[in-house]
Amino acid sequence: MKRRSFIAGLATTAVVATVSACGSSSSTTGGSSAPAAGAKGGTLYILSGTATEHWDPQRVYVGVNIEYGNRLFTRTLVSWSTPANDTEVTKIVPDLATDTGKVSEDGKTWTFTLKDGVKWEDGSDITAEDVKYGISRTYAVDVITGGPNYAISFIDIPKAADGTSSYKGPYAKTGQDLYDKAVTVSGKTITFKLNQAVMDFNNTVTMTAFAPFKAAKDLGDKSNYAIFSSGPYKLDGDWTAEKGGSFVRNDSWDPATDTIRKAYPDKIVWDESLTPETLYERLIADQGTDKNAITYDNAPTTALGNVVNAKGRSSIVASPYTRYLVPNFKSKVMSNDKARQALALATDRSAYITAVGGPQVAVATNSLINPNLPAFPKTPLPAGEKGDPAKAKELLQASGLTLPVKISVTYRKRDDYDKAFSAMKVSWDAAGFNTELVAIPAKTYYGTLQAPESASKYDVYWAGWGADYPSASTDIPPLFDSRINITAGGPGQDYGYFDNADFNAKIDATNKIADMAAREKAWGDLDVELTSKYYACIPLVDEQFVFVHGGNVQGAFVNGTYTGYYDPATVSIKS
Amino acid sequence: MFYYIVRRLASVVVMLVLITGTTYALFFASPLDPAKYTCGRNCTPSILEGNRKALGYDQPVYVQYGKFLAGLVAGRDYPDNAQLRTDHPEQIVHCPAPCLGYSPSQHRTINSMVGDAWPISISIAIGAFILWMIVGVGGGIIAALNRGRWPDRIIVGLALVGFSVPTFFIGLVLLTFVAIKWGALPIPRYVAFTDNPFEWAHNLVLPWITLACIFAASYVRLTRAYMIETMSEDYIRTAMSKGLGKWRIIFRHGLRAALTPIVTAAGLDLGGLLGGAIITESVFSLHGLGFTAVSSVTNMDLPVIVAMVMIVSAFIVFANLIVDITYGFIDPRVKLVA
Amino acid sequence: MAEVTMEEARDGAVAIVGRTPWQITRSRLRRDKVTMVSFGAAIFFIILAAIAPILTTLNVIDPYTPHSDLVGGLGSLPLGNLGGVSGSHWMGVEPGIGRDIFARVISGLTTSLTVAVCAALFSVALGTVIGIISGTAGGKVDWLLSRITEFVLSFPQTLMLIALSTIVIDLVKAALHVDRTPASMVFMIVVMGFFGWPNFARIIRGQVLSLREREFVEAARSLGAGRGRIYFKELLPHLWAPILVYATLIMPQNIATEAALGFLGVGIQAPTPSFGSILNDSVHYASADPMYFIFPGVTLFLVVLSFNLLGDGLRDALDPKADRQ
Repeated sequence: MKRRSFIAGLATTAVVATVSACGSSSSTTGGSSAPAAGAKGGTLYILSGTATEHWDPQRVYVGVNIEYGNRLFTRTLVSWSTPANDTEVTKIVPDLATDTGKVSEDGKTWTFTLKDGVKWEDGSDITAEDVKYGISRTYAVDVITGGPNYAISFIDIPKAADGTSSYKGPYAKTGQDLYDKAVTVSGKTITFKLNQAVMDFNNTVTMTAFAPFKAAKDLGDKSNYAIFSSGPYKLDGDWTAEKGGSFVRNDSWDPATDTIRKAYPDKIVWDESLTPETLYERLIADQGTDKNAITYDNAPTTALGNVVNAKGRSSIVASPYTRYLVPNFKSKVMSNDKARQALALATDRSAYITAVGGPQVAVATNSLINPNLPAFPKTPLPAGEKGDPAKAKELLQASGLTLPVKISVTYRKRDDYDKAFSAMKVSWDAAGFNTELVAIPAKTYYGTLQAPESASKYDVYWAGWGADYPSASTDIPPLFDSRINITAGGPGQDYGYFDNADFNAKIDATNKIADMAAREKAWGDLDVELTSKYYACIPLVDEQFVFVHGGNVQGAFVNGTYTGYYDPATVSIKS
Repeated sequence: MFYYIVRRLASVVVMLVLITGTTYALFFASPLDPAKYTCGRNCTPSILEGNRKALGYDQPVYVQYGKFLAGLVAGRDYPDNAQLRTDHPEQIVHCPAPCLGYSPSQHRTINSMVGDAWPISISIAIGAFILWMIVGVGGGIIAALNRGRWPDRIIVGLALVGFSVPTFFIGLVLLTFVAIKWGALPIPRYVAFTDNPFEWAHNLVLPWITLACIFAASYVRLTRAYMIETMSEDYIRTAMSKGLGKWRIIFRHGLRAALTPIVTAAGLDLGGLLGGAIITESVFSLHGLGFTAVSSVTNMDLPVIVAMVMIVSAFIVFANLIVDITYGFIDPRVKLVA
Repeated sequence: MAEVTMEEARDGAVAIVGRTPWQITRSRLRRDKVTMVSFGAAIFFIILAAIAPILTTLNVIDPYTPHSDLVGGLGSLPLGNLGGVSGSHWMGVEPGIGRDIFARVISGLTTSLTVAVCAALFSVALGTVIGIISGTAGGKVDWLLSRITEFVLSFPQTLMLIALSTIVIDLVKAALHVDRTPASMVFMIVVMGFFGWPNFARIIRGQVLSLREREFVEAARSLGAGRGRIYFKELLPHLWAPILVYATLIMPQNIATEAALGFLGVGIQAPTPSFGSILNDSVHYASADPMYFIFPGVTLFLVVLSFNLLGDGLRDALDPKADRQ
């Protein structure tokens, strides 16, 4: 069972996202200058309006924190290489390990060997035991909350009767022997026994949840912001939530052991006390220390008009996110097949695109799967970008419901979404619906969707999702497999309570397909069924990211494969 | 006099208890479940229960309030639940007296949040206060002395305009044009006075002007009205007929009488502002108490919301107290009746 | 009654007659051109706010229809100068959706004025009742009401509005089974009105205390008039001056408070137009499309200014001492 939690920030939603090795289709407007060797020195400013929830490696699940944590202070066994421009597809390279991992024939046993000379910030060696300990913390699910559960899903430890793992983590120590059998350490080598064949396990291991953790420094929940570094920088002072912190060089880090990180700046100041609007005003104005600044916040719609003033320092790249609508199968209206189809036909995606900033930042789509994934089925739009309210009205009249059909559409509150939905309401109403729009604040949005009482209140939900890594197996089942989502406590991530036995059977069949290309194609076919047969999902747009950086910053490139933000590993400050 | 002060202090304490109690009841006794706001996506019932216990929401409101009061006096430990503290000693956070609570979304005590935010609010309030008193009282005096003539008309006109423009509008115009488009002043960010006094002031000029605007306008009107009233009193005419110098009359007699209500108003206004100038801080993204209060509402961080309301109310109550006592000293006509 | 001219007085031919307070007021107002202009402006805005829904139904103005062809480029800014100003869009169009800003401002005026007027009426009504009771009852009742007044004044109005918005709006929605917009309006009226009564109650109380000793109250009491009759039939007519002035002056404060709250994202929210919700959006476009916040901002300023001027003028006209030099 793979359970994914998706933690949404206020301004951007970020999740580990990767683009497949089969090429990406992003575009840029003026990337940074050519990847010449940067100059050492200077202070890099990282500006943000999104508060970091966790720096504890086993609790980090937000793409930005995974990437930035990894590049600054949380080295992992293997990681992703750095790009030389905004579109380069990066690959997995060794980081703390000597190679990208050795896998057995059956795909169930993986082995990594640590390099020599890798040390913690206090000078002690990073050992394979540290890696084993770090991963074990994921199992302490009541203390170490928030992180991804791949360790629990993949490592070969039997489950208890209630479905949870028999190993309860290093604090309780229940089932420690089971863990010790599955993850073994011998000198500098660590071996993982998995419960299924995972041919891309080294892909999973790039997540910081698989980073080493020094047992002596473990304070449980209090380790949340207590960064203990294995990378080129260490925390100077304290980290304060919603304010940030500063980092200075970690003298114990040996550049000879690190092919990824260039560590040009002497100091890094991380300021997350801003709002996205303010920070983009400052970045575009490029005054004072803002010249040395980068950000990972996506430019808010309101700042887009000014981005043209930041010539040569902005990037527009593909983001891993797809935005879509989910009809609520438990509502009287949306359980009617023709009504769902009418809704899909009358959806005006061009209005949504205009509201969020134009075609450069949003591309209409009729697939849940991101275009950069091999599984992308290129489903054509049912009635063009504007939709067809007239045809939808005919369908609605044939559905047996009395017009106008009252529906309640809910979305996450944001100024541009208010406009997007007000505009889409016009087409829906023209098709015979009577649309009520409900904007729910970001903080409580997904919580509200997942509450059981919401099933009787709303008919259609907006949602956003991005694949965890380049397989559509991280798109379809987590969102539409009713068996792992719907419980008495709510719909899980299947917000619309889509529950179809045929569909579930096809999911199982697809999981068994051995050939990767054929498997991805099968996922694509399932995507088509969702959007064009069951109308259980109405995809809206694929969003693009827009980033701006300061004028003195060089070497800032978007690492599209590894979360999709500026990669700090190669950033330098022009003096 | 002494008994007056004692009685007033007693009533202040009663007032504060009533205020804190009402605030607590308003927020924690509502039908909405406060624990719901601590848990985001994929919230399982066990995480929700855990949060509820850790923050003490599973107890009746009066017990929570009692613990809060005890924490104010003697400090307290989080997580609130004694069993959780024994099971997970590594999670214990000690909040020293006066403990204002713990913010689940920020993972730190509200005391530390207030400690960071307070200098910013004070910096903004004091600078604006000095600015508006000089401009407001000065302008009011000039207007009163030139009553009916063009300096009066201009000042009154400007004051009316300043009084009618919304604070956030001024702030925004200044920020957009002076700071961003023309670059004449930096986009405000807080630099501590102890780090660099020049930069501290340099960055705060725009917030000071923004905040001072409406108060300056109001004090021009106030000062002008009181000055006019005082200057038309009989004893001023007596002083003039006695041949005392004009300026001496204005400052020693006229202004002195008018000053009392002005100082009263100033004290109350400043007291209210020490709790954070919400609009100004929001426009310029300065993280004072006002900004913290607003973002705590956006984040549905109930303990912080409650603490902010209490802090600002406490400032208002104390400002009232100080003004009342000072009034008794400086104005001999006032008999202090408790 | 005719006023006495210098010639007539010199001649001693016409008897000098005094004027009633109302006549003094009227003549002062007639001389005060500025106040008359602001009175006209205030009436104009009120009428505009009242007919806006009718105009919308008649399709004379259209605050809801999007025009995506009028915005474009990265960020979907209005095409054309000054934020898209044209013959059919006097204040331009909204970025991102192309709705007519003029129509939205007028509709916003309706919402904002409705909330401001109702809240003002609520404050005045509550304040008058409490002020009269406090002033006439005296003793323990007066003491208790004064303490309650002090208590309410200790809470910071803006902060309470912000803090309570989350909880109260949800409660109102559930209790009255309404959507968010009416719930927000009810919330603002009730809470703004509630924080407005204490200051007013004090003013009324002060007036009542001084009126209490006047002869007509004594006379009424000696004739055996009950309390209620004294309160409302005898006292109220003498209180109309402060009531009128206070109501007029608290209107612009309420309008400004609603706008400020909207700016912070609290209270009435998009897509319902109100000064607050319009400015909340336009604020972020300040550097890219300044006219989008200047047009509504200046309109807001003019509305607030006209009510302030009117209130000032009324206060000066009604103040018995204002003629003294």
